Amino acid sequence: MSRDFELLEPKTVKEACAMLSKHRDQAKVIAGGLSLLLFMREGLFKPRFLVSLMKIKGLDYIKHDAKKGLRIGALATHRSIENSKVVKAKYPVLAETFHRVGSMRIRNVGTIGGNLCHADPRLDPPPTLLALDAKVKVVGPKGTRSIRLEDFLTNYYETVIRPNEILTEVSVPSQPPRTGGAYVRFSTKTNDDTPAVELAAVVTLDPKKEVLADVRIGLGALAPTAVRAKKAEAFLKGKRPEEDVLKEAGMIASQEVEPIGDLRGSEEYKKEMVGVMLKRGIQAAFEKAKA
Amino acid sequence: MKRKIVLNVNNDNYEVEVEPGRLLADVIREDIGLTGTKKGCEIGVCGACTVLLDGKAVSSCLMLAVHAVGKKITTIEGLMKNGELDPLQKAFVDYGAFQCGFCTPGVLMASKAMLNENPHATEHEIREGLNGNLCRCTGYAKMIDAIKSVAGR
Repeated sequence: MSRDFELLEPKTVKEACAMLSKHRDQAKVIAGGLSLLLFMREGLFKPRFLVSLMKIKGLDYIKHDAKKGLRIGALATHRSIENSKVVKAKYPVLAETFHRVGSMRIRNVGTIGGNLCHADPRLDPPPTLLALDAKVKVVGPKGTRSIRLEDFLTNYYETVIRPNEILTEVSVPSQPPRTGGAYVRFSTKTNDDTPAVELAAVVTLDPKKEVLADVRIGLGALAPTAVRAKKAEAFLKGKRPEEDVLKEAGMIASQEVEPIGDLRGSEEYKKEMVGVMLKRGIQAAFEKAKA
Repeated sequence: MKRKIVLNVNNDNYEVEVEPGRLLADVIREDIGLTGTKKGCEIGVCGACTVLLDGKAVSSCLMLAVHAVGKKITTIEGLMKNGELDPLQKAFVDYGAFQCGFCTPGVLMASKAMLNENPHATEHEIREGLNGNLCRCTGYAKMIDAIKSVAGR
């Protein structure tokens, strides 16, 4: 690994942004460092400066209130989100999703901010966060931007973040009553391997708890970024999640993505699995919303 | 540029001079000389390099040594207390829960972290907790029996 970088350890976000402004393309931000160190080991990044966020205090919070919803500081680890009482109680699908990230060792170190900024389309959290309509807060020298996660992710390993900006917070709105979510993933290798197909579904039911009043579906590992399956969502809205409806929704969703064939499955196979995952995900979310 | 740091490993302070790019696994093995911690895949997948940081399992091959400053690091050499094997180590011996032994330090550290958090882990929780610790001899069944024997106490 390239070892000739200088490690900078700012104590505040403002100080960190100033360092990034000064060094621009020669600097990279490091938090847990898992993804970044892998990329540096492969020689894909050769930064002269690493700006470590680990000395910034108070950026690992998990807060909830009914009005503002859930707010998670960028340095909160996967494991702290997975084990958070408020996340388990109010957003169980989010706790379940974070439980699926890598192994315990990865979850103890990796941060939600690092995960989203790494922007690998096959990571676990983004589909669920998309289905929960999450936003990210990005801070730079010119102030703060609030960006919908959907608009934040732009391509393989690319986001709209500027070189002197830092992601500081992820927020998720409060969920209406009769809402339930599910995260399902399918891996063709080991349990903790990158998924071949992943899907998150969040549904809100009508007062009689029979019809899907609102549906949001996030898909991962199937396109250059995690994406919403908006056509399938529109098709499902107002319908009962019956067998033939889910089958057709699965067909629609599989047309909304462009998976690449790789060692985890061919393009055709992954598209077929989108239908399977959609059925499982919507059914599981429906059952949770009814409960 | 090298910097002087102090790492607390198994309750001893070690002053070492490291480049910021040095990995915790390398400093533990090469600078401090505790070679019980192994390097396998070096990409955070196999679990051989597992150590505890403030009681939590981490991959020391994917962590900068400078990021471990101020934390309590525990390696396999730190499991023994007052000349006595840790109950998990004892159980691994009793159950013959290793073959070549390369993965054993990592598995023991992961198990230790798991039982610290959840002393009476069920078999399912043990299996899930060991997700990400690979044994190239595939000797998982005896490891799980050994850990179960400690969790059941």
